Amino acid sequence: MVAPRTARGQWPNGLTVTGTVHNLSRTAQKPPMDNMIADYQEACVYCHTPHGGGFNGPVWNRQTPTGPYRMYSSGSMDMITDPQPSGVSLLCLSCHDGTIALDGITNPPTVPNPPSPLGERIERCSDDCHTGGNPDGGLNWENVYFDTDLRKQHPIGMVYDPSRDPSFRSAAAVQAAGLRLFGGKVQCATCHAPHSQQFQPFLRISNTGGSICSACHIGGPGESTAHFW
Amino acid sequence: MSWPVAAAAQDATTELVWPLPPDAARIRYVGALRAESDLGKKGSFLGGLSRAVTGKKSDELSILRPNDVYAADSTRVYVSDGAAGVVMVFDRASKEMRIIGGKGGFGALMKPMGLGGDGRGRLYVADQSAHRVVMFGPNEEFLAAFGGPSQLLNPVDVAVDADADRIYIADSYLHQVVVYNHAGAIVQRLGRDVGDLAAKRAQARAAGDSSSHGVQAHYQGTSRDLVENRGAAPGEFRYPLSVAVAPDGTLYVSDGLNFRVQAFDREGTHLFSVGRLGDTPGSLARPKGIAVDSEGHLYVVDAAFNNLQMFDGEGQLLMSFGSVGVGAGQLWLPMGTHVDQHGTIYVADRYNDRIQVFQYLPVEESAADNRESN
Amino acid sequence: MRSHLSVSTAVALVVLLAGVGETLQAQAVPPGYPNGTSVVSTLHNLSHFAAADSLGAGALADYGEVCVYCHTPHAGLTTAPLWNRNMSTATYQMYDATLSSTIDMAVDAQPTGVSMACLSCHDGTVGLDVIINVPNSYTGSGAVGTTMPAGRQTNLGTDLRNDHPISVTYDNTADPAFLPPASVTGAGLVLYSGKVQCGSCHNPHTAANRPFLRMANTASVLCVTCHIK
Repeated sequence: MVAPRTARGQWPNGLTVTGTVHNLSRTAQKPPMDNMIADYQEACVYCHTPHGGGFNGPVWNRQTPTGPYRMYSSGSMDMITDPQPSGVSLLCLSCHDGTIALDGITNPPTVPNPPSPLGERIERCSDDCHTGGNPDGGLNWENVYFDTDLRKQHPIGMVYDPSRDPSFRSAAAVQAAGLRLFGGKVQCATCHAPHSQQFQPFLRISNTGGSICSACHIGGPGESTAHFW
Repeated sequence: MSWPVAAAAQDATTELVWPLPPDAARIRYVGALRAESDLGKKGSFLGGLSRAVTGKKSDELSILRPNDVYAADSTRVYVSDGAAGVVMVFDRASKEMRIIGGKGGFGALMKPMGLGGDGRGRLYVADQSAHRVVMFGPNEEFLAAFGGPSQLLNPVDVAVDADADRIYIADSYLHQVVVYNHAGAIVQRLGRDVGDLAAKRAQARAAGDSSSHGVQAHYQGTSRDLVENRGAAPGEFRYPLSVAVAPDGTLYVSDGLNFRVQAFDREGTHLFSVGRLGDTPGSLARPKGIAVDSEGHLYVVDAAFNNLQMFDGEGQLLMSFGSVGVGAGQLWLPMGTHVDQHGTIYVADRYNDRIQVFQYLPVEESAADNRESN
Repeated sequence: MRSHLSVSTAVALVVLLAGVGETLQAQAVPPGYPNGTSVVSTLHNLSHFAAADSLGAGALADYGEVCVYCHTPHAGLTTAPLWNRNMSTATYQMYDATLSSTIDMAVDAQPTGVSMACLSCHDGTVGLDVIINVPNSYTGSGAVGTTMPAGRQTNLGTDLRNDHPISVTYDNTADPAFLPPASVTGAGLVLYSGKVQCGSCHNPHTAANRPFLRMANTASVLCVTCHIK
């Protein structure tokens, strides 16, 4: 789990992306990140472009990572999973798998004479400073750099089908709790809201007491899981 | 196989014709091509009419955003699709659709714009983003390419005069029609030639663009065309957008922002110009694709009027047809056009994502119809 | 025998130079445009020409009309079509005609209104095509870490999502992630009969905020005028 933030260098966070670390322009203005990320002077352009974006996302301004990825697998998993990440998860992985530079975008921002990308990937963040052991680096960011090995991460790309596993709530209940399914599938953005830090880290709902887990999984306090195993 | 050219099944009171009665009908609406199912088992374009209203099936191949259209013969209709990045083939004989220029092959296309043909089975595709014209053979195999980034800046259309061995390429940023021979050598340029293409490409690279018409130069406010080559005199162009060759070898050039169509002979001598800026019949506001039928009539697509205007071989206005809309016989920001040897008129109805098909009715036939309907 | 029809500038236009003091005069090969607040100094001045003109000073008068490229003047003289003598000699219907889309959706199926005027040139032939850019057209210099595309994406059959939507009826009650229309127009953007069109964000007459934006997009403020992100 992510440790609470320390006081030094605290981001404003909140409901809008401009105050979060997903605003790479703001990050790029602060040393030493100003030598790692180009400041395009716009928050949205690191992911979005109004004209001529890619087909892979909403007016998307990044390339699609190609992997290949090692996917989570488990003998107890009953839902059908994509063999490789798909859909919106690929948008997240375009930064978080460490293969594409954070400031590597397709179309430039509208500001005059924008800088060229500096080309650092996300592993630079977690390898050098945000290690948890570095008092200046705040929390441990080991979990934001996935590499292409997704075996240690929560599975994605599953068709959410509780009929295959009764230890899961109905899709309607999941969505009523505030999570999202994409074409009926669980993706990164099922639990994560990339623009909002209302519930850190970028969660759609609060995870106090494991509430985001139990939005899907049956087995919270007072819920018997005996007959599922 | 026969086309429904003189289809007797259509009721004169419900068919779409132009001009409206009592004038003799010269143009009849035939149907629309949007997806593979429009080829239909009955071979009738009337199936396309229902498609235009109900839409296509979600899993079949369909047009995304057509730029131009070319019909080599009655059986194959080629559609240049800039959004899909390929040329789609509607094969009426086999009732299936194919793709030319998909990624991975030698003839892979990036952003196909205008189409042309030489009447000998070869298809020419102006690939805007690749700065070249790609030639495919009668079996839709890649043969060769013309131009390249050092010669072409924004090729948007191509037309061929096979008898004179002239391949005309309209380059709207060079403001020229560059004339090649079959061997790929430039034999002539129509239009002003004072601009420096190499300098423009170097300027774009210095601005950070990977291609000479990239976005970065645009955001910096530098022009992406060779401004020095713009001209308004006869024989000069301001954004030539389309080229077409008449049966007698006359070259027509749709001179976009001079709001005219210019005619040249085979040696490149300017003959006359058609059209003027305005909003009335005979005016041109956004001339785009042009085509010539076997009788020498000139068809000019206008994306502002959302219609086609017809002129005779001397530049006299004959009539217009089409109007803005989504229904039968209507257009929405149309672009390229082509008329085959049977007088079937194809129009790339760009924002309706379809090809609208009309039929030119020769004078004798329409006069006979007029007599019979009395 | 062929008749020679020359191009006629049918209507004499008074070109309003909005107080900037710039005049149309022969210029040397322009390295770039001044990009000021008057349309004369922007890329939309399509009559910009070179100094050397073989026809002499008289022909330069044809270049004096800046506005006609978008604002088609009424042609005083008209031609009677030979095959259609019953045709009305009134004007052709152009963009400002009101059209009722037969499809009852929040997004018009076709671009409507003023956007049609923009798209009649911005289709790649004259102006930048706003439907497709070649992906990865921006690499910057010395871009380290950006991936090159493997090939042109051809997602046949998918909807086009790579350009900001237009002809959308702006309705923040349908999606609460948007600010109210009064806030949008109060900030300086424009809604056309309640719809988002090209002109909502772009002003084709001024290039002070490139490219032709109604406001600068530094820190993505133009984006967040509508989007709550």
